[in-house]
Amino acid sequence: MKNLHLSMLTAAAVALLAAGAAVAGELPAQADRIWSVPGDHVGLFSHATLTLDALDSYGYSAKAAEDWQLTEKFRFSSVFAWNRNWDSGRWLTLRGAGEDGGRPGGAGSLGLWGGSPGKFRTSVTYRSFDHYYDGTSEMRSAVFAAPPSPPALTPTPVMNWNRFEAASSHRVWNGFGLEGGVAFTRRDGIKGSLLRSGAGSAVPAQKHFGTLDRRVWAGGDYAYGKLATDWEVSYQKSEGDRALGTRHLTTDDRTLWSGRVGGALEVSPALRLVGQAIGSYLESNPHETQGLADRDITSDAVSGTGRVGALWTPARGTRLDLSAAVRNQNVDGQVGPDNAVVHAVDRDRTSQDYHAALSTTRLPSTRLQMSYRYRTSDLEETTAQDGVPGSGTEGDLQSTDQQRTSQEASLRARTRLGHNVTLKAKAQWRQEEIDSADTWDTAGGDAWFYWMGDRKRDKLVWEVCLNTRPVPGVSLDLGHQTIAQTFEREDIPGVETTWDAVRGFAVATWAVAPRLTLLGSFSMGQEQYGIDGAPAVASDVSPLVYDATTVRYAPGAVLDLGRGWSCEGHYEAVRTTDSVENDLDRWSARTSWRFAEKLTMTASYRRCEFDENRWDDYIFDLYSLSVGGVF
Amino acid sequence: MMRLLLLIAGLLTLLAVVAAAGGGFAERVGMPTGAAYVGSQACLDCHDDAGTFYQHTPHSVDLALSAPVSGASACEACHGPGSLHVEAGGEGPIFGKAVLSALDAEDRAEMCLQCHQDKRATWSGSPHAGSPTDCAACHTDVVHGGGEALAPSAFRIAGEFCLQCHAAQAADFRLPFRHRVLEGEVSCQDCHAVHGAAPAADPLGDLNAACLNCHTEMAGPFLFEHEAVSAEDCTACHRPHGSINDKLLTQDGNSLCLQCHYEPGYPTIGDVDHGGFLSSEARCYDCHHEIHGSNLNSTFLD
Repeated sequence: MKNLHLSMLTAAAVALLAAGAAVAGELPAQADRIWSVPGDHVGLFSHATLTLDALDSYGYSAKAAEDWQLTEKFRFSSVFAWNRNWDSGRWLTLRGAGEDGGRPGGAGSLGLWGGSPGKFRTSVTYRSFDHYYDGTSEMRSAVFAAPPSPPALTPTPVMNWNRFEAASSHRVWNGFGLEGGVAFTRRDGIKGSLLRSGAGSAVPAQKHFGTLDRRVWAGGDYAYGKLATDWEVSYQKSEGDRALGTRHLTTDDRTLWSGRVGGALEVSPALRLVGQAIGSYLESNPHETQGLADRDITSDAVSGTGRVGALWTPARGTRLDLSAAVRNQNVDGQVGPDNAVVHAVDRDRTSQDYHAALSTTRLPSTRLQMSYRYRTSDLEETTAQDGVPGSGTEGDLQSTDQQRTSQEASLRARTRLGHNVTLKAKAQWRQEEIDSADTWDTAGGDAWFYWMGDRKRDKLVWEVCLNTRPVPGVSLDLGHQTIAQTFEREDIPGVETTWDAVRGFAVATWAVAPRLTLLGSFSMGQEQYGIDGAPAVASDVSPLVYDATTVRYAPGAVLDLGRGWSCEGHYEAVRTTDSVENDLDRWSARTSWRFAEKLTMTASYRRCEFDENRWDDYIFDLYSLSVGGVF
Repeated sequence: MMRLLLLIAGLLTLLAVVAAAGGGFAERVGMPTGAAYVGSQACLDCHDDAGTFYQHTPHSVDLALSAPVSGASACEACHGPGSLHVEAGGEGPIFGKAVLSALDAEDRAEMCLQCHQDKRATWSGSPHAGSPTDCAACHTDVVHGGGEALAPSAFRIAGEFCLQCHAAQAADFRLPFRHRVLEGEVSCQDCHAVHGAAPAADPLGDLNAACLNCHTEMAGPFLFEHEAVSAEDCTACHRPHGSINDKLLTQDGNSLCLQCHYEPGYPTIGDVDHGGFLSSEARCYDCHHEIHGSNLNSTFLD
């Protein structure tokens, strides 16, 4: 059935292209936006579109819902924009998109932006979306092949994300501006988790969320001659309840105060100095219930960051950037009240970050950027049972003394090889060394908890990209990336793990005729995670190495038939091979007819097939008909 | 103490003197000798097409805006003082297309930053600074002679604007597990500060701050930290744009954890024999579920 369907679509596409070529005229092709909903527009003009979607779904609906957030047989959706400019320069834009599917009230976004150039700008946005979850996504293994299917989660877990933000900036006078805003994020509902507890084919537990994050901020900037400054203070509060099934309940109570001040001074046309200072105070007092434990937690983190930099242009086309940053963080936390501490931590982390970057365009048609970064971080941490570290009441305790050192060097080059050929390349090397040692004082003489000693990571990234316009009407971009990483446990001789990735892509656009454009992209990636000397494991044990290949190709065509008619068709395939093999195929065909000067009717057909040869396979067909107007 | 106060006062005075000395884009690029600012209206006498382009933009001549330092008008803030150009009937020196397009990225950015001061402190650290992607490459709706990209305001989905250039990310957002940028639920700007950002106030650092702004429950501080979160960053285990694996994980299976935690005595790790826990394709995080950090369990068990 799948092959028959594919053949029919291919034949239809060929016929469409042949018909289009016959009437090809002078109009340009549309932009490639294969993800856009029917009737959506790009542009600042006012428009509105109403769409009716009909969904015909077959197979495991929870997986289809997770991938596409589609659950309803029928739904209405709309996209719209209204834009107004006044002669005074003031402007106002209202944009939105919404659908009536899913929960009562539907889902979508609404935004209002307005302002007066050089004086003020205000924005208010609201977004509300439902996330559906296939609670079995974690079980991607041949061990769980269908049939039989595992117990399905009923109903499909769904979590709603609500985001609201209002922000405004006002230029009080030239060189002095103020800004501020508020933001809310509410999460409400259920999502899938990874927690299976290793219980055979049992599906993972669910996570419940009922949280609200609020943030308020105010800031400003001031410029005086060659000095520019900016500052901001913010307050963030996170509250609510979370639960992992019935086994772990958490009530959050988290408050973050932060402040920042920055400045930039242009000492001369060739030298600019910049600096920033940031401080924050975080207090987190959650209440957690896990099994028999029912605990109050109190913790706080005080952190400060300072950064200074110099941007020097010693000669035209050459620039040297130097910067240094210092960050300190102190965390104190305890579980249980002061008179009955279960365990507590005292943690200090100090880090320094030094960076130098040199860029030059002195070579003909070439830009070179060299960068070197050196970072150190010191961690001193003591965790104790039955008392706060240093209080004299503590029992078992364990301390960590850790130094992290990392070096990162990179070279980027961009050169124009010819009038229509640009070559870009990047090489990046990073080395991180961690010297870590734990000491402990416990009743049993053994370490209280798991710890790791010295280790080292080396990573090399190599990228090259070629942008070409070989002939008029054709663009071809090619890219390649290689990543090679080794991680060595120096505290356990002979332990080395590797990560090797090879990725590539090609994107082509061919304006065959003024009214016909062919598009295509191809990308592939191979990821291999290896462990030297890893033993063989039983067939029902997750492998110790990982080898995944992903191939994606997406050809398409856009055709303008003239007289208000346009057509486009796209196919997209994603082939993945790792723990299991799966095929994800998507087709979309869309035709639009401008039946009046400002009115357009669009019909589209979209199909998606997910084929993993397991219980979560699905196919859906989505038929859409929309009417839109531009006014 | 008095000496310290005197020193600070002296430094502030010096700073004020240096700052008050003024300067601007025209001086940086090389102001023509003897040139003076004449106002935008003089430009429109010949370049009326530019006036039409800018009529409904923040750079409209009707708004009578001027650069803070130089006092240059809307046209002359970018094109330099125009008196010699006007006096010579359009033949005199001016920062025309040839001059401006020959500038390097920093100088082109400076052209805009002379007025857009609120971006000055952070722009030099932004991912776009120093690259050929200058302000005009994105803000094509308010700058004539900009790039080929459509302007941000032309898109309903804010993230679509960025994807005009960032094609690899566009492909990532089509993977089975992804942040829903193409669906309009989140935008690139929710995580990325395209004009650069000051160091994060969040104790866990710059990169994590972008994630923890929404996923606050993973921010801690925890009594028992997982170094992969606190000392590295979220990308140690997650691919934030899109992944073929659930929860945007970089890989599917125990090798994700064993990259750091493998020991030759496997399945013994940390003196604990895990052999009995690993049948039926059990994953490490099936049990070590509080993997971002825990207040109750030192090994993140749940």
